Amino acid sequence: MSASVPATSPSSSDPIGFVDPRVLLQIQSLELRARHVVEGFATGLNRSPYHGFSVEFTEYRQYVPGDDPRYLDWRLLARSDRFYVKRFEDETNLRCLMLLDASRSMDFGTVGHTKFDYARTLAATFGRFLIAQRDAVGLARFSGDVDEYLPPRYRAGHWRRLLVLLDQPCTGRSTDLCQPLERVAERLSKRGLLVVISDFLAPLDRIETSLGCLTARGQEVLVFQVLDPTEITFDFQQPELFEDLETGKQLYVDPAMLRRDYQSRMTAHLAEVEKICGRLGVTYRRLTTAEPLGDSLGELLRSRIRSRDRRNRGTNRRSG
Amino acid sequence: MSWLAPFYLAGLLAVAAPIVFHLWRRTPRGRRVFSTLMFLRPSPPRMTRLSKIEHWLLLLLRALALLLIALAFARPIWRIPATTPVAAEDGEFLAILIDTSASMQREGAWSSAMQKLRERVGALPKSVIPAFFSYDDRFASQMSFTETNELDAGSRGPLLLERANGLKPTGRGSRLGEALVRTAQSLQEAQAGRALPRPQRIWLISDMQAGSDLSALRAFDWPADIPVEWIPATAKSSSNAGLQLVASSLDASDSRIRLRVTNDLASTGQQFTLHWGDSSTDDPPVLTVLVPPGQGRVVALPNPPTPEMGRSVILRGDDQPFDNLLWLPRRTPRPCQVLYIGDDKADDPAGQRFYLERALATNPLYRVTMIGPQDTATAGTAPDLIVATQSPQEPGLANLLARHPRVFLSPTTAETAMDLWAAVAGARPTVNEARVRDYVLWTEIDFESAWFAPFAEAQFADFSGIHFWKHREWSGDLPEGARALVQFDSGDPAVIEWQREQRRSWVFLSGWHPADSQLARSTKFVPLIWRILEHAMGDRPTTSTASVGDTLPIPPEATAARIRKPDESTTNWTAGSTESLIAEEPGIYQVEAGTEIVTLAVNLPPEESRTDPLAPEQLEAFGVKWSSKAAVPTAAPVAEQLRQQQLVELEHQQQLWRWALVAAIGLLVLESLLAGWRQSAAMSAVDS
Repeated sequence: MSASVPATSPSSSDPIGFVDPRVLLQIQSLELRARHVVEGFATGLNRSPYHGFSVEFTEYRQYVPGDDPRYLDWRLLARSDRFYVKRFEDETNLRCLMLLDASRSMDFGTVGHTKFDYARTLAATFGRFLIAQRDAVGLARFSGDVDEYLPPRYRAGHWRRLLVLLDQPCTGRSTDLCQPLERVAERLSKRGLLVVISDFLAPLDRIETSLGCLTARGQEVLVFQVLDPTEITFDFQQPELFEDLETGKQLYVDPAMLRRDYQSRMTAHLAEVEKICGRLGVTYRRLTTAEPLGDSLGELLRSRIRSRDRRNRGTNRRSG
Repeated sequence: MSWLAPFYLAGLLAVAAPIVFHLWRRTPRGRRVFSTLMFLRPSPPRMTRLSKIEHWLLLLLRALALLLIALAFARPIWRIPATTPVAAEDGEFLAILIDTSASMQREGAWSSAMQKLRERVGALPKSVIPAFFSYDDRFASQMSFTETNELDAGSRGPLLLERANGLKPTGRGSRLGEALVRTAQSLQEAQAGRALPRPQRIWLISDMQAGSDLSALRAFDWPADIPVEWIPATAKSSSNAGLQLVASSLDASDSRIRLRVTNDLASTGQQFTLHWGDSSTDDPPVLTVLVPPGQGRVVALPNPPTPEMGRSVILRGDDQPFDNLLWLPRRTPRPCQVLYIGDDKADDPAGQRFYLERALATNPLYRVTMIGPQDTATAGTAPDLIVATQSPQEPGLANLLARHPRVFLSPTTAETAMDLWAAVAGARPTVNEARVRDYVLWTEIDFESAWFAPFAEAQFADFSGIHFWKHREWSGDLPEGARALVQFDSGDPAVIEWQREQRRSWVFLSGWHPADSQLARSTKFVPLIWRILEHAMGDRPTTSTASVGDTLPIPPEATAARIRKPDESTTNWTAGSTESLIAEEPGIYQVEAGTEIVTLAVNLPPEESRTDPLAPEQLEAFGVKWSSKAAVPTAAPVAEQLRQQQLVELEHQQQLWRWALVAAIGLLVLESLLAGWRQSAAMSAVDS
């Protein structure tokens, strides 16, 4: 049931998804934003790689006018003279939970929008894309702990609830990656996809254990590290009093003196995150808020499809 | 220009501070929120250097203000004294004070003091000007600064030692505080009139025993520039026990003499024996006393076998014999005759005589013989006091009343009161029997009068427990020369004292017997009657003991006296003579004034037995400055010291620092105004 994806250039297929994020994020409606991005990169994907995947009967439902007559159970009709529709597993072929970092450090931005704006657009886009494929999507907002939790569902109104949750501003004071991951791991009973969207600007002591806990339960984990460009380059010019967004702690810093030191420490931190993800087989993608969203997402999905294809081909060879 | 505190000139370096601050300034002022500080570490504020100074005038004002403040602290002086006025021969005033009190009689103490004195005086530089003083309970100048100044430098030391050789410890007490004060005053007198004071010092050669009297130092502000160096006179043994008399028991029937045996804290022995003075060493002790070191015990001596043996008592078992002999007082009550005029019997408890006779009989100072009117003819001498409760029937008695110098009336009725007063004073007053509802009390007691002075203390002054239910009422004003010592609370006089020339009479307007009052049965009665008797007998000295250095008591009316000293020598004293009446040595003194003989037991002052060393900190508490330096300062440091003093005086006169500070404050005000004006100008430029 898998489908190959043509390696077409996304930029040539739909320019909307690859607009400058500054322009995109000026659109007030999160839904509209998500739709624009999804349409951009999804049209490049010939068809859904998950469509018709693992179609299995789950339950009967009474027919209501408007239902596709193809799904009427004719045998049951012949036996009992009742109109029933078969429901299939393909409505819930993927359970995806998005973990969105809502700590105050995400409220930072120097390119016209904050990391949080970028991250929730990313989450909305991803959610929109999956719902379009009839996958179950959930959302967990976290800072020090899981603040809000919307379990993965595919049903009417769920997308709206998801958008409402995404629309709330970030209020959490501290970032603790481990505890939310552990809490989520406790709640997830079925296998699925877990998308973590965070800046990962926190100590990484126990993050490997927490992520490992999820992968060990069979969850497929996707990590998006969202950063502001200045957080990488630290190209401030004037000596200033820097105030930590989360703790409120103040520090007198001369960027000219500290830039090199900062960059080396930040690079080491990013490398550590990437290394941890690599060790655990977690897909890691670093995004800066200046990058177009569709570009990143399209590339990510294509790479995932390719890797899935490789896995499937390997399986077929072993079985043949 | 000179400086009193030149090290403050280092403060001139502070002028560099405003220059640096004008050249450098701190630029960053911004504030930025950032996602995380976890990759940042603090960096010091960067200063940017200005290539030129912008505000010259402000810089100048600030630098000048700092300059003036630094100069003010350095205490500038316009000119230095041209020459140092102190010549090399101008040396130190040295006051040597030696202790001659009784405690210096301890074995080795005096010889130690003399040896140290000789060593110190022999090593004195010739430039030092010494004076020599001694003290016990008196301060004596043996060689004053005036006398030393007239001597040449070479003969001062030998003369001082010669005077010292003429001294020896006396039996007197030790007034160390007064001696130090007087010595310090002598030094101050020697410095008086000098433009520049010389260095000065006191050498105190003493055993500094704990019994020294330091009270004079309390009222003296010890001068900071007079250091005292203590040269200890050490006795061979620090162990000592002493004897002293204690007041006799309140129980009149107990005639035993009571002693306190004290033992010093540093003593080694604690078991002592007491022996009669005339006994030999083989005789058994009168008493054995166990006194732990640092404590005292009071013991009562038994009556001596013979009066001669009881003259003194000796303490044995003590290392230091100087205070082991105690002379005991002899109690010989003076004879006294009291004539009682009244018809009540001596054994009638309802009458006044019953109580009077018993009260007088217990008086320890007088052996009272009470006689009746019928005995006046047989009695050889005139009575010392007349007590009358009834008017005399015989003309002879009335005459006696009219001329006797001391008459005490206590009439039982108003009629008797008028008769008695008429017999004594000549004029007949109007006296009525008072009408008393329940009772009256004594008020308005004249505690300054001789009768009531002993009751003046608050614990004795309460007479409110004594009720009087009958009394006589004096009508009209009191006659001339009379005054009420006590009044009843009804306002009537209760006790009247009347004096004319040498005659004195007292009238009780209520009797002490139970029919009139509770007075005879109160605790106040016996002491009051004793006081009346003693006052009537002329308030003679009652003491029979004294310490060495005390003045011998002479009866007040005596014009001449003969004093027999312990060594059996006699001295005659006449009123107005300058002959000393001081007891100079311990022993029995007899003072004979007319027919009266007073015997006195004179002993060493009890404080002299307290030979534990006094802590020098106790004198420090009074401000006395101790000097640990034994050497006399040489001339060169003295010259430098005096030059410094002169500079201080000059600086005090000129006080240039004040002007420098005023100028600095003026400059700072100007700077503030200028800076404020510049800032407001800059702000208005920005606004526009």
